[in-house]
Amino acid sequence: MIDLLPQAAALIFTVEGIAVLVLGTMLGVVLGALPGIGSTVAVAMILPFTLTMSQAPAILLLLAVYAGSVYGGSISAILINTPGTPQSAATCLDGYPMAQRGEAGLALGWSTIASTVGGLVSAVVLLFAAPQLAALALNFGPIETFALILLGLTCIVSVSEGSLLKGLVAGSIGLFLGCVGGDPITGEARFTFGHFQLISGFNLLAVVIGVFALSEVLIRAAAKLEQDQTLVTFKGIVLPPLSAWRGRWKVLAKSVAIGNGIGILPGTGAATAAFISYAEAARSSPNRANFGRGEPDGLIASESANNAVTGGALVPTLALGIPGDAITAVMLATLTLHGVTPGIRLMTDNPVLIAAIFSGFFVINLMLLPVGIIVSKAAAPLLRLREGYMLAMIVLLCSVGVYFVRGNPFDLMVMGGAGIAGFLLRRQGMPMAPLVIGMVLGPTLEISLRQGLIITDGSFAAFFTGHPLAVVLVALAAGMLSLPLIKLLRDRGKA
Amino acid sequence: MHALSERRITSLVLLLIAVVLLYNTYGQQYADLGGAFSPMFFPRIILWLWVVLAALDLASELITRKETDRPQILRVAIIALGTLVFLWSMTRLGFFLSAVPMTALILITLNIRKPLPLLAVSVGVPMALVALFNHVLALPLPTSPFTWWF
Amino acid sequence: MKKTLKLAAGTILGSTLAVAAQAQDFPERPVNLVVPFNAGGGTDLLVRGFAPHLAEALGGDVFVSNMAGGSGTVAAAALAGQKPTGYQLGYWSVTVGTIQPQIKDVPYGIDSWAPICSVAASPTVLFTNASNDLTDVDAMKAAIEAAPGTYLFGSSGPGAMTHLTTVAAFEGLGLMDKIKHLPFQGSGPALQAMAAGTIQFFGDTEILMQRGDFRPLIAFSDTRLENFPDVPTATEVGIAAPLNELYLWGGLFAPAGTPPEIVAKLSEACGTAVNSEGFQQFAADTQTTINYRDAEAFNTFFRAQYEANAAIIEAAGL
Repeated sequence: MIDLLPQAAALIFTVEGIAVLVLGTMLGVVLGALPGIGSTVAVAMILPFTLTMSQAPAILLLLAVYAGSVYGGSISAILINTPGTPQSAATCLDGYPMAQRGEAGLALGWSTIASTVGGLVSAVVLLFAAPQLAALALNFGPIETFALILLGLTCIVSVSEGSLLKGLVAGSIGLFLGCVGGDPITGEARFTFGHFQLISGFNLLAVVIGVFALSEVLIRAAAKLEQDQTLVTFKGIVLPPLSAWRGRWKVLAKSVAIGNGIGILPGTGAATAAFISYAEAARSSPNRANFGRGEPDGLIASESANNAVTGGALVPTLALGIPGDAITAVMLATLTLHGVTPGIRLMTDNPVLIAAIFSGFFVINLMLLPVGIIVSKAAAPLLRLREGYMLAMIVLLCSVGVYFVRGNPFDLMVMGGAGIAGFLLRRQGMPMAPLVIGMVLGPTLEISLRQGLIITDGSFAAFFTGHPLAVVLVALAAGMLSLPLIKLLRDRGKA
Repeated sequence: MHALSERRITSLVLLLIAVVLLYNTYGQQYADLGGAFSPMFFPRIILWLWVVLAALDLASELITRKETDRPQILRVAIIALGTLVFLWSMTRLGFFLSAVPMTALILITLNIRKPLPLLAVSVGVPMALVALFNHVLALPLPTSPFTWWF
Repeated sequence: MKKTLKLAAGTILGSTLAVAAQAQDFPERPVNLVVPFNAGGGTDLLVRGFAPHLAEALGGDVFVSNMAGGSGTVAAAALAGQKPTGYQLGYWSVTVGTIQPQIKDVPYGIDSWAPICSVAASPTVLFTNASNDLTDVDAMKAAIEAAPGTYLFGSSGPGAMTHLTTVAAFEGLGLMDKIKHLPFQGSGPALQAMAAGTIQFFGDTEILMQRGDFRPLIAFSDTRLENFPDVPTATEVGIAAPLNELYLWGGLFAPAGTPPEIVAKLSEACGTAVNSEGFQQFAADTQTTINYRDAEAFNTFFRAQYEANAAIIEAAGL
C-alpha cells in the first residue's frame, strides 16, 4: 500500500480534491453540531452533489462530511447538553458538566484533540492492516457480540452518579424501551398496544434528545430565573497544555484501540464504541472518581473512540464490501455509481483509489482541529444570548433535528414525551445516561443473545465452551459489576 | 409531614408501570415457540429486572425521606404543554405557523417581554430555518396546508 | 430555483383546491416523491437519481423527502391518508406494497393505491459461500437431509425479501423443517456471518451477491439469468408456483382516488423518465434492472403480486 502513496497523493492534491476536503470537513462539522442532523442526514444531504464529481473527490467529500459530523456532534453535546449525533451522547456526560463549570472552551479542546488522534490512528490502521483486520472481524460471531455488549452495559455502574440503584432502574427502563416494536426474530409486534407507528420502536435519537436536551430546558425553566444569565460562558476552544495530558495517555490509547476494534464489527456502531470505551476508562482511569462530573478522561474516552470508529467502519466496507452502518452503505452506493464494484475484489482491483481514500481520510482528520477552532469561534456569539432565547432556540433546533431523522411525525411526540418523563425522573435524582446506554445496547444484546441460543440449540452454557473471546469479555464484565460491591464491603470493613 | 412526597410518587409510578408491563407479557397470546424463539423471552428478563430494582428503589425512598426543591410549576407546565402542542401541530400546520407562537410563548414565559426582540426572535428564527432547509438545501421541513412555500 | 419561484406565484392560495385542478395544468407546484426509508439507502439513491428525469418529463419541479420507520409502513400509512392530488407520490418496494400490509396491522392495504408505474425489478437469488462443498441444489438437498437442524439460513430481518427468498426455496424443496432461520438486522451483518460461515444460505439480488465470494444456487426468475446461465431457475429445480418467482420491484404509487387523467399524465411522464438517456445511464452505473410498466399494467401486476406473496408469507409463518 505504501508504494502507491505518491499516485494516491496525485489524486488528492488537486484543486478539486483539496477544495472538497476543506469544504466537506467544514460542512460536516457544522451539520454534526446541529442537534439531530447527525452523520446520516449530513451524508445524505451531500450525496446529490457527488453524482457529478469524479471517483476520488466524490468519495473524499462523503468521507470528509462523515468524519466532520462525528466530531461536530461533540460541540453541541458539550455546549448545550444536546448530542448532535447518538455517538456523542457519552460526550455529554462529562462535557456538559465542564461547560457548566465555565470550562466549555477547555472541554472542546480536549474533545478536539481526542477526536483528531482517534481519527488519525484509525486512518493509519486502515492504511496498513485493513485486509487482515477484516479477516479477524469474521471471528466475531453473535456469541462474542453478546459478551461485548454485556461488557458495555456494565458502564451503567460507572455513570450512575448519585445513586447506583436509580442508575440501574434507568438502565432497565432503557433496555425495555429498546424492546418495544417488532421482534427481531419473529417480527411480531411487542408492547405496541395497537399503535402501528410503534412497530419500528422508539427512535433512539428522539429519546436521547428528549431526555438530555428537552428535559434540561424544563429543568432550567423550573429553577429561579436570573435576568442576565447565559447558559454557559464560552469564548472559543482552549487547548489543554501538554502537561495536563500527564496520566491521560493510557486512556487515549485504550479508547482509540476500542473504537477501531468495534468499528470493524458491522452493525455495532459508534454509539456503542463510545459507551464501551467510556466504561473501560471509568474502570481503569486514575481519575475515575470524577467521572460524570466533568472529568476530561471521560471526554477523551468517548470522543477518541467515536472518531476511531469512522476509520474502523471502513475496514469491512472496503475490504469485504459489507457496509457496517447506514453511512458506509451510502459510500458503497456512491462507489457503484462511479463504476467501482464494491466487494472482496475492491482493494485488489482499485489499489490507487483505495490508497487515495485512506490517505485522504488522514488529511481530513488533520483538519478537524483548525476547522473546529473556526466553527466554534463562529458559534460563540450565539451562546452569549440570554438564557431565555437559548432555551427557545434549543426547543426549535431539537424539533428540526428529530424531524429530519426519519421525517416521522410520531418521533416528535416521542421526543416531547421523553423530555417530560426525563424531567420528572431527573427531579428525583435519576441519571439519564444509563437509560440511553440501555436503549443503545439493548437491541444488539437481545438479538445476539437470541441468535446465539438458536445456534447452540438453546444452551446458554454452550456460550462458554469454544468461545474463548466471549469468556474473557464476560469475565471482564463480571469484574466491572463487582467493583462497587467490593468497594462497599471495604468501606463497611473500615467503619 | 406528609407521607407522600414527589420522589415517593415517582418511584411508585415506575414500579407500577413495570408490574403492568410484566403482567402484560403473560396475559397476551404470543406465539409460544419456546425459549429464545419467543418474542417475550428477552423483555421478560428485562421487566423482572426493572420490577425488582424499582421495588428496591421504592423501599429506599420510604426508608429515608428526601425533599425536592419547589419547582416553578406554572412555568414548567406552560413550556411543556406549549412544546407538546407545537410538536403535534408542526406536521399538520407546518413548521413556521407552529413555531412562531411556540417560540413567543416560551420567551414570554421566561420573562423576555420587550416587543422588538420578542418579535424578531420568534418570527425571525423560524423564518430563517424554513428559508435554509426548504429553499436552500431542498430538505423540506413540514409545510402548511395553505401553501408549500412555508 | 427559478422555476420554483415562477410556480410559487400562482399557487400560494390555490393549492387546497388542487383536487379539482385540471390535468392539463398539472403540475402547478412541485411534486413530492416520498421514500419510505432513510436517506442514503439503496431505494433513496434510486429515487434521487430518478427525480430530475421525472421533473423534466413532467415539465415541473420534483423533490424527494424521506419518512422512515416500520419497514416502510409509516410512510405508506401517512400517504394513504393524504388527499389524492397526485402531488404526493410514494416509491414503494414489493415489501412495503404487498408484504408488510399482510403481516402487520397497518392502516393501508391493496385498495389504498392508484399504481402509477413500476420503475425497477430484479429477481432474487439463493446463494451460499463459494468455499463450501454445496456446489448445486442436489448437493445442498443431500447435505441438509443428512444432517437436519444443523444448517442455517440468514435473512436481513423477519418479513424482508431476503427472508421470503430463503423461505420460498426451502419450503418449495420441502426442507423447511430440517433447516433453521437466523435473522440479522440488515443485510450487512448477515453477509458478514455468511463470509464467516455462521450461516450457509442467504437470498438477495444478483448485485448484492456479487459483492462477496458467493455461489448462486437458484434464480427466482422466469428465465435463467444472463450473467449466470448455469444457475437453474426455481421452476427447474421443482419449486412450484407461486413460490417460484420473486422480484425485488419498486414503483410509484399515488393514494387511491387520484383523478385518472392525472394518473395517466404521471404514468406517461414516468415512462419518458425511465427511458430517458440520463436515467438509463444512471441505472447502468448502479446496476439497477429497469422494468417499466404503465399504470394499467402495473395495477394488474401489483394485484397479482399481492396474492402470490400471500402464499410465501403463509409458508414463512409470519
